[in-house]
Amino acid sequence: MRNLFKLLTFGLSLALLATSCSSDDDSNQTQPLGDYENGIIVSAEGGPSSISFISNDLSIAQNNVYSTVNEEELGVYLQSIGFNGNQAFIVTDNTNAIIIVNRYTFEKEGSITTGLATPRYIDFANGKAYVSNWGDGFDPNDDFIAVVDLSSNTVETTIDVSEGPERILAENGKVYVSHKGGYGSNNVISVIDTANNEVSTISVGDVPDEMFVGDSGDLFVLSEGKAAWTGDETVASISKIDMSDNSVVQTLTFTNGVHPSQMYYDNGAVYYILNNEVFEMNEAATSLPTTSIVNLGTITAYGMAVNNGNLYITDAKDFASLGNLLVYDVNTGSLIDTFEVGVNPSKIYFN
Amino acid sequence: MKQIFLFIFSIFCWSNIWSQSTLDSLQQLEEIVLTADKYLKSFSNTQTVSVLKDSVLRRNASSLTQLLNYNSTIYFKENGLGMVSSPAFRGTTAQQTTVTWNGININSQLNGQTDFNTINIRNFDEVNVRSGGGSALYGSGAIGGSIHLNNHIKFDKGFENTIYTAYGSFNTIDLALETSYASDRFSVDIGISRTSSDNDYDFVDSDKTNTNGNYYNQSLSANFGYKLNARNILKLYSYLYDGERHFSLISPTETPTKYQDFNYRTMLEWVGLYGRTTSTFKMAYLSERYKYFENINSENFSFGEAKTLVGKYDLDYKLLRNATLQAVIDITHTSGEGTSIKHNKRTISGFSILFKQQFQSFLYEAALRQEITNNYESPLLYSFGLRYNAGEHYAINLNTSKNFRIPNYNDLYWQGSGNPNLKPETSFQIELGQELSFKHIVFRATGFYNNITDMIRWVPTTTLWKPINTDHVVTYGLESEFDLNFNIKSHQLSFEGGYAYTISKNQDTKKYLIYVPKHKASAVFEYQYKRAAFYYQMLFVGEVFTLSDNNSQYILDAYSVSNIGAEYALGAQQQFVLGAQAKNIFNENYQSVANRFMPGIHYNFYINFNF
Repeated sequence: MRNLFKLLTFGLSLALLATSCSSDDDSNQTQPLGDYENGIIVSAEGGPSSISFISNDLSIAQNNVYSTVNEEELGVYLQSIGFNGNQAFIVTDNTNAIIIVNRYTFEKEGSITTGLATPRYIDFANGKAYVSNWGDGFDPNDDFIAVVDLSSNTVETTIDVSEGPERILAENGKVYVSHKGGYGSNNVISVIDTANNEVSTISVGDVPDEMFVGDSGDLFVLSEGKAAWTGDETVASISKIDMSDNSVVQTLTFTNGVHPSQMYYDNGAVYYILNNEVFEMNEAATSLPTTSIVNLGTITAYGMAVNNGNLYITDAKDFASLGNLLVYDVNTGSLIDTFEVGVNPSKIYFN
Repeated sequence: MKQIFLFIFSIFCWSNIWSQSTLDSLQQLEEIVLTADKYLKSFSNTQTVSVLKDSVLRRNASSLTQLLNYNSTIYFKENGLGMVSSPAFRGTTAQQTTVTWNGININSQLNGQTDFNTINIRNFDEVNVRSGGGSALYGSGAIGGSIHLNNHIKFDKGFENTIYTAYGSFNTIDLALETSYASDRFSVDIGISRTSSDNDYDFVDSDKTNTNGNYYNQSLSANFGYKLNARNILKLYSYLYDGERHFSLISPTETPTKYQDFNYRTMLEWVGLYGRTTSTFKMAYLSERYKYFENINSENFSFGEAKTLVGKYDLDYKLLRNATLQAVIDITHTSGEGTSIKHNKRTISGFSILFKQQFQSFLYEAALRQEITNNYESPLLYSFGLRYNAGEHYAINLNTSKNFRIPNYNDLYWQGSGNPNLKPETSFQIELGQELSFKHIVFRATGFYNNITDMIRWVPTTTLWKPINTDHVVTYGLESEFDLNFNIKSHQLSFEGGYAYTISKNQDTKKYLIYVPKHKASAVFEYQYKRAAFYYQMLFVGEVFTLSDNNSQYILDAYSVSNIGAEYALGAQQQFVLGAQAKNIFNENYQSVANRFMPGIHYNFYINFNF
């Protein structure tokens, strides 16, 4: 993801016109299918940003859900969606805004447009939302977590954290934040005590991104490692953190020069993508798997999720056309179905 | 360094040989002194060159984008009025159009292109549009065509001054002053200009306004000429540009950004006329620098800068009464760096041979060019053209050429992504033009075919984006121009229209390139009566795809924009011109880039005073 943002910056210096969001009015003619319940939500960064819905039985698919329902475009670039009760919070980083919709109808219910600066991810605890913010991606000193009062949907306070807060995960009165590092890099997980907003940190490998809590109660963190071009390449790793005392109890290190991405957790297993192959590892494993379960071929894998025996992968293709959602059978590794979704599809959620 | 020494050494050898010759040729001098961009007159006979003169420049806004949008077949995508703007000339990419300043290629060394909204046209005497391949003459990027910004150095015209001042909607101020003095031996011409705008126009059919779109730019141009004697003349050209743009927002909650450009160029030219031989020595220094502020309220910025030194020696020998042979040797040394580009140097040497022969009704011209650099393999560039005049009303042109676009600093050296193994993009093209001209009517049409291989595209690899030579694109189409001119007593009627049909397709995906319209047309209709002139200007741009899969849901609609204007000249020599314009009079709601809305109806008033 950081590379996409590097590219976007690059795009500016290229003085190329960054693609921006728009669609012809004709694209909004299809009527909403009704409830977007019991299905898969795919968010696309854009531009134009969009949200797609695919029913769980894969029989119904609809693109541009938000713009169809609300007759307005989402701002670019749609970074992530958080779900809380009946609501979905759509985080668009370039517009410094969060749009709040009913998660089943996608009708707009509100928005948060002040107090955010390049917001990335959102999670919820104690009637509040916690939003990671990069600020200026080059400035290591302006990063923060915005605490949003969900009764008024306003930022009530901010908590300063170190460079590049990315994923955010609330668990047992604590909020865990992985610091991928913005345009630079970082190597910590911040832990915020929601009772007093005090921050402590856990050191992990460089460039920590995805985090999941396993059935065992441990936190799994994928650190991608610094890439070779930084001139200071470091190894990637998966850290296992005991959430009772926030100690790192296991670090599984990848070989030099490889950088996995897109970790996901489902039903006792950790999944990740390395060199366009999907690997599956039991959460109790003490070593990394050596064989993959699916070879994705030459696609541009940009997002991954696993649910009910299905593996979902988004293909962003050339980042300038409509992407695909690919559905594989986790057990056989065979491709079940393919759906055309939005531009630069990156996140997959189950509604 | 070795290349530089070799270069200087060869020049000394050549100059010594040719300065022996003593034949006078004052007439030749007159032709040579006008412009430093001599290929435009001497080696562009088999392609179309359109000249945009003073009166056209005066009636246009100060940006090169607007001038060419309404007066050429080049398509522009503009990120909102005054913002980043890039051309598609004959269906090619922004890096495949070259901009030259007094004959020197000034495309950015960093990104290989020119942002046409960072060129203020007020400081130039003439803007020319040369269609089709020109790499054998102008180097990298002249694939779709080239734009030539030229200053003329004239002698014997005394003291002349021009004041231009314009005020328009959105608090747009456009000022230019030019003062020149020329005796029979000495010429000086100083121009300054400044354009600024709040650029806060309302979107058509919307309650939204263009926010954070304000900009200014100012430039200084100083050109000198000195005749050492009847055979030797020195010319010095200098240009300074300083501009700042706030980039307009799509969503009001976006973080406002700004972008600053600072460009400086200077060129010393020494022309020697020794009978059959003309020798031209040029040294040019070009400096470009940009700063991008991702947050307007922050001191943090990213930057890029490049400094280029060009040396060029050109020897022109009149082999026969009707034939000229030219040999050129040049060297370009660039040093560049940026926030994401480590300091890098690059030296390119070039050798060219040009030949032209002219008969009664038939002419042919040929050019060969080879560049040498350590960075990549350069193809042999060539251009060969024929022109045949069948009677006085009909002419036919045929031109074929090999052209290239070299990898730029971003492609080669971008930290982590730069690919040092890139090759230049190469283009083979052929065109056939026909021209019918009568007293009142001129009609030109040129069909072209352009096969571009090894096109550089940034593609996602497993962890990074990298530029690779991957795309193969074929563009073909037709450019046409129709001019009418009638005078009846004090009434003058004229019509100038241009139309281009362009197909630009990726040969691997069989998809059309995004942001290339099939149809583009522009026209000006003018009626002049004594001191008064009225004109109507029209622009039509066909629909464009915005996604590379040509998805029909993501198309930008076609649009047409109409402007009207009136001018009245006062004073004994009509030296005082008053003008008024209404632009986009039908309030067309249009975007040239998705979600970048352009202004509706707006106005401009100007005064031009020559004294």
